[in-house]
Amino acid sequence: MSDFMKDIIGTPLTVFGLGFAISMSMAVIMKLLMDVIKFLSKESKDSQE
Amino acid sequence: MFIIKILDLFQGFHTLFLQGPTIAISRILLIFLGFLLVYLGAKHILEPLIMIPMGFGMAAVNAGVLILSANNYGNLFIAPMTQDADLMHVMQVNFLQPIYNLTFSNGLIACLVFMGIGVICDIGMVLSHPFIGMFIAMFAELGTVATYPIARLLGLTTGQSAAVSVIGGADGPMVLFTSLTLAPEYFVPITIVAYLYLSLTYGGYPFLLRLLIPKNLRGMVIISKNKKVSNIASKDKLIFAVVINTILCLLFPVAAPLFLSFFIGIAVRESGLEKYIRLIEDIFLYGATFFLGLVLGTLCDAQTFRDPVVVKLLLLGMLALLISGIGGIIGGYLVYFLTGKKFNPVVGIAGVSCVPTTAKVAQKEVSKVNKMSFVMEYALSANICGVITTAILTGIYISLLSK
Repeated sequence: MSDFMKDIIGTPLTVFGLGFAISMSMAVIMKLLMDVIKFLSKESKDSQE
Repeated sequence: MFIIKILDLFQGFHTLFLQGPTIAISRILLIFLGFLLVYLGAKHILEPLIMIPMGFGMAAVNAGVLILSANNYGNLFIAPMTQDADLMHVMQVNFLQPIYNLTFSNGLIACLVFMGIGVICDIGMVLSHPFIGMFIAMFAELGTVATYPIARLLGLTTGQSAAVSVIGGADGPMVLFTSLTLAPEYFVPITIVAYLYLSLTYGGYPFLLRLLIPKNLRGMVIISKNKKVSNIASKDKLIFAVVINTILCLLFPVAAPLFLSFFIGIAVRESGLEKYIRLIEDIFLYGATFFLGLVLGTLCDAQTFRDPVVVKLLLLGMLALLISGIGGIIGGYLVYFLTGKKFNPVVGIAGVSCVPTTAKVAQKEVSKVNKMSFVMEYALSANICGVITTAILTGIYISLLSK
């Protein structure tokens, strides 16, 4: 396969594949962050009581 | 003899005769295009904040051509990409040169606009529906990736292809940043094409929605089980902004200025720093948008648009936004099927991150069919996720292709 073909097929696939993986990882991190924050605020409320 | 002396006095006219018929006709056409942009901006058919200063600049720069030296014509507005001239000298001669040199050539203006976008975005929408938002936004990036091979087949270089593909992300500052980094020789036409088409999305996307989504689905009501946006505390949003910004800067240092600008805007909003919010929103965002339009307009001289590559850029820009719109709708349909037909696929169009235009388009189209259906919360989530995914894809393109 020529370099040109590698570029026109490989570059978009790499960009989309990496982009998708990173974006969905961001979504997982957001969910985890929200859960951790919820857990910590619940714990601090319980300890205050 | 007398006529020549008179023409020397009015050099804008004189240069029309001296530069040859092609340039003269191009200049006249661009002057009228400038008028048209101002008119369409004033009528709110195109985005007035950009189009009015751009149209003014375009008309003025094509009218105000003068003889600088023998066979050398130019203007007193700006000299783009000046290489050899003494910086201070150039900055004193051309009145918009300081703005160009200090904010355009280093991408600062894109970052200032991005900071403003951060301040007006409520990240709580994203935190309420992170998976749906990110999923749709990634599909709405289809134009950003699918345009690349087409551009390469049309003969553009890797950098130029990536820069024009980013138009599919529908984010003006991002297109400016990418084209300045990867294709500085075409950053003017690429950015102008992007802003022209982005202004047209408000008019064009509703037709795409009506074409691809049947009426009964367009009016669907989404029943939300998630936490209400108003329940997400500012502290949570601030932590999210700091963490995500750091991760993205770690992954893509080349696009770190963009990430920092966007997330610091969010951090300022969520910290409730009223004075900073006003500074960024009222001064940075609107000041940068005004100068963005004006400087882009003054960069539109007849020479810039004589390059045959510009026609390819016009076609590719339109194609990128069309494919992204279709991709967003495909994303909307996938979520519709994955949620057991409980999701309105119209939200998909909001993944095209033209904040908040495409979210408004989605809600408007839904309301036309069913006044009781409110999709704005999901649409804004996809919209803001679209900004983040476009920044991610820009970072990947720049990391892969910059030398």
